[in-house]
Amino acid sequence: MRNLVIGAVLVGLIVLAALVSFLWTPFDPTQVDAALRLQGPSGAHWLGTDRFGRDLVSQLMVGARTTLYVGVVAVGVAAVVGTPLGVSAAAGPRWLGEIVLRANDIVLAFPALLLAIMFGAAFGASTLTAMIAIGIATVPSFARLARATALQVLNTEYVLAARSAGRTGLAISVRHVLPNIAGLVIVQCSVSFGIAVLAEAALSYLGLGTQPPTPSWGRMLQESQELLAVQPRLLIVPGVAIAVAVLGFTLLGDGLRDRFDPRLEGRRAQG
Amino acid sequence: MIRIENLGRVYRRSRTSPFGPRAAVHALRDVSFEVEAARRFGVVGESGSGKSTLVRLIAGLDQPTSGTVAFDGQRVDGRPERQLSFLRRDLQVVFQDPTGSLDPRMRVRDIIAEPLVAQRIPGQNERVAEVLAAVGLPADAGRRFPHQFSGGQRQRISLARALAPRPKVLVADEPVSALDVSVRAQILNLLADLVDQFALTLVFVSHDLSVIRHVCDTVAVLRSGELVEIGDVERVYRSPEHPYTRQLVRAAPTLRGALSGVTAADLTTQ
Amino acid sequence: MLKVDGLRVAAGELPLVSDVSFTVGGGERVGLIGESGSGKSLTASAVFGLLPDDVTATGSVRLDGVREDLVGAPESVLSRLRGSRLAMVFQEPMTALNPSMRVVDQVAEARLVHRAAADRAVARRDALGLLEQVRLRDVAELGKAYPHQLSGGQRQRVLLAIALANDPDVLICDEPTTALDVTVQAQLLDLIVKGVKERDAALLFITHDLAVVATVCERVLVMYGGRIVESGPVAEVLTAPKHRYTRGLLDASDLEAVDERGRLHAIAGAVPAAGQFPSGCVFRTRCPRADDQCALQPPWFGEPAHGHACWHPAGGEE
Repeated sequence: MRNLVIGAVLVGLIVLAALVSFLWTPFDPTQVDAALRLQGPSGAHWLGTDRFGRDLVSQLMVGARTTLYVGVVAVGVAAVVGTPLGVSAAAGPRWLGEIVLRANDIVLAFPALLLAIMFGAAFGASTLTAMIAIGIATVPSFARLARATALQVLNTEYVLAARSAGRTGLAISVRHVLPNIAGLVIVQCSVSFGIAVLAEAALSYLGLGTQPPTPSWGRMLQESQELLAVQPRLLIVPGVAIAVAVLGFTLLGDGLRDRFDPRLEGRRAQG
Repeated sequence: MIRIENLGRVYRRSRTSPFGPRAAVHALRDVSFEVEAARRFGVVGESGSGKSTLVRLIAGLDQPTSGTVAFDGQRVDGRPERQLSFLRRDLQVVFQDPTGSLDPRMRVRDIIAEPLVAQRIPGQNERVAEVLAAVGLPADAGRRFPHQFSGGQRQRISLARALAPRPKVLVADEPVSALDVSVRAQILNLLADLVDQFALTLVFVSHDLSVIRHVCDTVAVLRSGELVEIGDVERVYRSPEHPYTRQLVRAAPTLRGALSGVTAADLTTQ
Repeated sequence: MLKVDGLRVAAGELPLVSDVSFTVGGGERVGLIGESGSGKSLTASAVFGLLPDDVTATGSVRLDGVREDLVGAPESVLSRLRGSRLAMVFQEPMTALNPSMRVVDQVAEARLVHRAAADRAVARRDALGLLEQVRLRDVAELGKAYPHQLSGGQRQRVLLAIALANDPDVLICDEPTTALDVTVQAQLLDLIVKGVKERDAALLFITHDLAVVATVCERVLVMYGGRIVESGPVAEVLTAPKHRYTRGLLDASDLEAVDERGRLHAIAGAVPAAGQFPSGCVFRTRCPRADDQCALQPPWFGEPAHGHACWHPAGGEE
């Protein structure tokens, strides 16, 4: 329960920052001002400025948008593609299951990074290619989860009862399998979100994700890495933001997993 | 009504070594019997007897490796699912585990209506209300979820689901084994009422011979996949012919026996 | 040997077991009958000191020769007693056995932990002997097996061997044969009875099966709604019960006793959920003979080991 609350609060903070950034930021995050370079925290610039004089707080807030945007699309793609794949692998003919499993293993072997580089080289690096690359790289974890839980569900007596009632394959998958794996899929979404955030930061750091001048936490790291000794603040601030985001989503996922554990449901129902 | 001939089901276990054939488990071997309409036919067997496999084969949920299953004159084995609608309509199964046989995420009214939906039978809402009443559950039970009910009530829901499409045959796979004694009495009474009321043919599978003796008129005894004895239930209980049946009757503790001096040691003598 | 007095088990404010008192003497075989929700398993767990975290016990549980009261005793005291003077056989052998240890080692461990055997080799020999006592066939071969390679009946024999390993003074069996086939059950019941007789141990046998309790035990306690509602010699309680619940249970379980329509005599209603038992007599919402007096909790009529808690006992005026 505690995990759930802490996770929700952390995630909530980030979402809030992103939403507020649409209405207001202390300064224009892309505005360069040589006179204000590398200033420490002050009344005007709460976290100071970077090497180009841009306000850090504003960059953080708008960067939150990118982070969330990439996470939602990447995880959304992965869930929407991966879950049905996994369920069909479990419910369909043996050969289909084998194909999906092997394809899964192949994609899993490809780091998201490599995919992103390939996409970037082919279609030009951008937030979009980063999202798609991360999305594809995340499909296998959904497919695998969906397949494993779908198999469990398909072995239950209530699915047997459904067959005895005359239900056929597709109807059983939709009516019985999906609702019973939904909880775990949601948990996976939350956990994968955390991973996607990290992946996006890494890609932006390498220049393969969000392109300047759009703010991005990963690129904030990359732009300031030479200044580690001089102004560590410039690295700590985006680093902490990334860590908080990943932690928040992971804790949220953990908390949700406990909430959705079917073994605990009985106890909760009796209590 | 149901006729099975030389029914066999062999399972092949996964390979434990790259050489040689895979281990075969003979769940059923050469089983034959006939269940006539309006009969209450019992199948008694311990674990490993093949009784659950038998239930699946009769209900068309599995294919035999040898032999045939016929329902109302038509073959059931060897047919793809889409040709089994006659079976789905007229034969329904009640399973053992009251918790596992109901989808925890479905409301009770959807669970009960499932056979009607699957077979496109109209008038679902009325029928659900009818069967809920027939099994002694309140009308508002439909809105709730299985975990909100006790074990006995869940078995009633299972029964309601089985009765919804107006079947001719009810196959009950250990329907009271997971229930307390006082609940068992209620459910057995309910089952008897429903069988009478709807003129059903009943196939009752259990490991408990005394329950079968109360419910059924005929009994078949299964052991390790083979049919060792079959006949009128009183006759089999009082004068069992096969040594295994005798062992089965003797090993079951009874209140009467215990009160007249039968000890634990006596239960084990042949 | 074992004296339980005023045992009360509660989950916070919710009472689950109330006012349970009974004794089991050395060499006695006492049955505890109840259905789900009666509190019988909780009673056993409380005696054994293995209640879950959110459940507490108060009252007294005394074992002969032990200074401290077992209720609330520190884990160090309890763990010394468990497996040596006090032993338990559980219902589900698969969860009670360590899946990654050979069964002979598990039996040997029981001896070693309580220093009943001098070293590993002696413990192993003892273990094989115990497995032979519970008639595990091919002890040399099957002893080396892991739990999942054995059948349910074989696993229960192993559990029994572990329980009897250190010649306990009290053996508690919690539904040990419920999950077993009837032929296997017969053998295990025989082994349990022989096992306690040879050691002159006290047996507390918990079950919902009246026929089993009648076959194995001499005295019986009937539980409903967390309370003991009747107790006495098996022959008496199960032929001429006083408490209405016992009467109802007997009638419902008798598959040969039917009315004119061929129906069994069932008890009306259903067991209430924990915490929803009625005030006064716990059974009054389902009792055919309940009246206003039953809103007052019935006292215990008779002696501690032979009596009932019912205002209108069966077998009296009718």
